[in-house]
Amino acid sequence: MAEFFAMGGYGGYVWSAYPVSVVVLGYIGLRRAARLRDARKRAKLSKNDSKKPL
Amino acid sequence: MATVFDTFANPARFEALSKRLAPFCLISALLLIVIATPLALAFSPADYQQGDAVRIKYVHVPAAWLATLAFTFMAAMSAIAFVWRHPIADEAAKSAAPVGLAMTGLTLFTGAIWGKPMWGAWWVWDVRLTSALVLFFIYLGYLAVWDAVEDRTKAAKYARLVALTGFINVPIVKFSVDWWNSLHQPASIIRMDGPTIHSSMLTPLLMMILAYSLFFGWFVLTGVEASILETRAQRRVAPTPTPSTMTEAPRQPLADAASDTARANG
Amino acid sequence: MLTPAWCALAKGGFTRTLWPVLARDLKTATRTGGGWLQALFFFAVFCTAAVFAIGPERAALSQTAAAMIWLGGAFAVQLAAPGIFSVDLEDGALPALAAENPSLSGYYCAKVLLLIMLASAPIALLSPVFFIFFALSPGNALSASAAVLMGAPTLALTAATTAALGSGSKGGGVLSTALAAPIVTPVIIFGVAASEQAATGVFFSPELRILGALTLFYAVALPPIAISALRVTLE
Repeated sequence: MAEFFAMGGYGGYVWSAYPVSVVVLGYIGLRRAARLRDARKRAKLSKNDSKKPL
Repeated sequence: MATVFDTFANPARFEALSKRLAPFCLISALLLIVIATPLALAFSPADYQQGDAVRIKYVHVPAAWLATLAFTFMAAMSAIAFVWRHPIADEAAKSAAPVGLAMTGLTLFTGAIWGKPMWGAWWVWDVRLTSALVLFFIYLGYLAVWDAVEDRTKAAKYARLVALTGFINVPIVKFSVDWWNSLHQPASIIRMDGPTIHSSMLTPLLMMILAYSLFFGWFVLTGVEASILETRAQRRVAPTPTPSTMTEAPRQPLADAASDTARANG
Repeated sequence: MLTPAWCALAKGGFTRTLWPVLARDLKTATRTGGGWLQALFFFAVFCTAAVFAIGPERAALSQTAAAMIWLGGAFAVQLAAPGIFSVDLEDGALPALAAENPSLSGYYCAKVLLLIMLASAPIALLSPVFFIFFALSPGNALSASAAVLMGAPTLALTAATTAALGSGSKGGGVLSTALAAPIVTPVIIFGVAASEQAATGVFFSPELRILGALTLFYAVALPPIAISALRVTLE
């Protein structure tokens, strides 16, 4: 188990690269999901009777 | 051909497509990452020269792949927008930019992390790294155009030109290691003679590349869908005849001002 | 997008605008005194400053010679380019021209030729002097400068493109600075390599040939983009 974290001496490098990748992907993913969620809410709220297509 | 364009060009149909396709892309991407990461970190061999540091490859290469894929996509969409003048093509290009920027940054970061133990240096000014840095700046420039120019239609037109000219850099990033003696290792997957990597390493690598690509698909589909919905909401609030272009989403009581702008640009 | 430009070429609208614009601008340039020397002057100042910055050691100077001269030349032409369009936008000459001739290809080519004649070619012709300042022998200096002369059209093409993209009032500066890098960087990479090879005696090096190919590619690929940018500005 200890060797897994040590990564043959390169532990610091490998365990910087992977978490940062996860964080970056997660960050942009969450922002994009939030924008979509807000856009859907906004579109639903502004729905009026005419139901005019785009 | 006409029907393919119809699906993408018609906002209502695009929205229907995106609602079904986007979640599939995201879930597949996450599944692939969950499966590939243990393979990458534990159940694949260490390199006989680089040791366990080679595992950085499984996050560095997909990020680099996505960095160039995103810009190629932006250039293609910009070319389509240029010829057919359809606003969804512009919005598709704009949607791809944030992920491209983030991935270029991630490529540079993970590359530096990998370079330090391997080459002894965090950074060298060789052609591939320099052109990757230039790509990062072009992404910034592209996003800046949308912010800096107030008129959305004009911004779209300038942005198309930025994407098309900036695309000159992409072949340089990709082929620089083949054209010049570079410190960076040459191509080992997409080559005339086929991949040079052993399957025990190639499998997790291809899985990660596919996962990142599916994430990209989700990212772009949801971005365009959000733009369509934002425009629709804006038109209903202020139903004045507008030219067929996407316009700024108005302030809504729904979200506060700061996150509003952040999301419109996200 | 591309068809209007080529149609205008075929219909002769190209030459109809090119020569008058070129003649008028050359006349203005020579009439207003030394204004046209701006690029040349910047180049001279840059190279002189570089010589002082690097110091008197001949080895260091001759190693960096090609790099400094190409950088100075590229920056000088980049700086001279925006004025070429802004003067016509300010006094309304360009909108008037665009109203008469929907194709701006003649106008744009005139401007590129103008940049070559007034900026990049004079710089290339002056560069032997500075190569000698950078401790190259006269023969090598001439060969290296010949490579710079081969790159003169390329520098003008890239500068005109970035200037056209930046000609819009708002967000213009952002565009041209963001875009100068990817277009100019390959020119500098190959130009410097071509000059260095020329200085060692190999004039027709692979780098020089690539520089030539790059010039041809830019001559075809960049003008439509630049002309589109000018049209967007004119809207």
